[in-house]
Amino acid sequence: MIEEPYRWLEAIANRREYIEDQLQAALPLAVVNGEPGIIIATKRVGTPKIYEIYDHLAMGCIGHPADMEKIRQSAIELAHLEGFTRSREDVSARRIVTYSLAVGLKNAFEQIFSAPFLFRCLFVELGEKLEKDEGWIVDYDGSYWTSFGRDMSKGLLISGKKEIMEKFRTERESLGLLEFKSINEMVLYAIKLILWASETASLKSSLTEGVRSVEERMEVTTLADYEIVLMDRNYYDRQSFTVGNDALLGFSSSS
Amino acid sequence: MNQNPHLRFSWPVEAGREERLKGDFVSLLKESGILFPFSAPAELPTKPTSERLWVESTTILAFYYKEGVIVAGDRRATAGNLVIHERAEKVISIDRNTILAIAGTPATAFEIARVLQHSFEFYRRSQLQPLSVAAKVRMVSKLLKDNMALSLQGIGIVVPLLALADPFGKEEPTIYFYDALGAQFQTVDFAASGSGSPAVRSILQYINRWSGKPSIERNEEEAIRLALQLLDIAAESDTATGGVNRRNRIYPQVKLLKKSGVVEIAQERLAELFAEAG
Repeated sequence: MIEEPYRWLEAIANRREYIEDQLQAALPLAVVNGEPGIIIATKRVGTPKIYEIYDHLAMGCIGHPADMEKIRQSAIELAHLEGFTRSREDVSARRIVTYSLAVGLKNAFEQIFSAPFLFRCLFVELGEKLEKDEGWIVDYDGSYWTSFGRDMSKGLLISGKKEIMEKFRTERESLGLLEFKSINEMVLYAIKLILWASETASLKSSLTEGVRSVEERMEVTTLADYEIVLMDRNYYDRQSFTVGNDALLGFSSSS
Repeated sequence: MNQNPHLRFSWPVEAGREERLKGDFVSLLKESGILFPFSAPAELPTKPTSERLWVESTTILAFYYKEGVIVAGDRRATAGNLVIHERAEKVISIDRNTILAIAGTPATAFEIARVLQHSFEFYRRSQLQPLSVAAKVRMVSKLLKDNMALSLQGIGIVVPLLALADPFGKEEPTIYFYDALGAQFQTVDFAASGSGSPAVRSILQYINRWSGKPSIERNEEEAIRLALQLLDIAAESDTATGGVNRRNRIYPQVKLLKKSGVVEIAQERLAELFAEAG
């Protein structure tokens, strides 16, 4: 089959269609940065979706739990080996994503006789300053897209629905830079993006209109519905991954 | 199936892989060809016993106070009679709930500390739960045992103290001390190690038995002051202990371990407290 180029292309197309179909139901996950650090948020479901990889690295993902687990373990091993043999400063999202995750995922995707990875992730690196933050969207086929520094304040989003991700990516360019000073503002914006991505019925309305319209629905949502992690810039040189609670995120316990 | 050596997608059949899925960082190091533990070639000449059993040149101590455990150590590093460094860091935060104080050969001690730091974090991140206190205590013991060859030759001996808080905040912090071969002992009042430790032991025994105010009844400031005084006295009789060097503003390292975790005490605060102590 693979000797015939057309059949190989067809097999790859079928594979892509199958994976996209399997990921359709996945809930969106958003990343927003600001002065206090980086917020990673998604709707809370049974299994956690946001993982600590290293002191300043984290990964939020969607897909099959077993696949997420394999990739999570690999990333943790890579980061710790590098941190041990070299130093913490040598452990970077760029090196892990471009030299290992992406290569491995592409290889696995093109092995058409084995089961593919049902996986999509947002790999995040907290910088010492906001300008040094990095966000990498890595897909099941090894392709990646990245945003750095202040640009990340517009938000990064992954979803099971590719068309929503594409719409967001296109329209976010028209958003001005949002310079968040507080954790609370960052969390609210991340939740708006999640609501927009999970509840938007029509792809016709613009991102700006959509985000505005979900503000009404913010009142009925509570923090307990979300899994939220703060990469705290105060702890940049140590373990920055902090699981959010009401007090930390700047909300009163009644909100 | 996969050519990338870093992403081992053929999980879980590879040799050694199952161990790592239990969060074992040392197995990962060994499998990756990174040498640990240290092992000395058998043909290395050993020194006569009388020369081998020299005491580690330093002073480290840990004792209980009102709110938890205090760990302190001087900053001097020596090579024989030579002072080679006055700002050595012998009290090391391994993670948010663990402090290791080291006496002995720095090369081995720092490597043990580095392995512990990565192992504890690796376990916590990969298993999504922190390593238990008992497992941490045993892991230090295992690393010391693995270092037996160098210890017996008198060139890689390490005798550490370990202070641990329960990662779930339920139990009170505890102190363990070790011998060079890895035997572990939990102490009920204090522990000290290194060449200056006899003076520290005597004073703490006196304080706890006869002073009327044992260390466990002392508050944070009193405990820090006591730790500084103990190291200052240890330095009086032990040339390998740096003590408090006010002229060059070199103060010992002092860390507190409370139920909530490790608290580092800044040099400025140590200077103030030591000055108040007279």
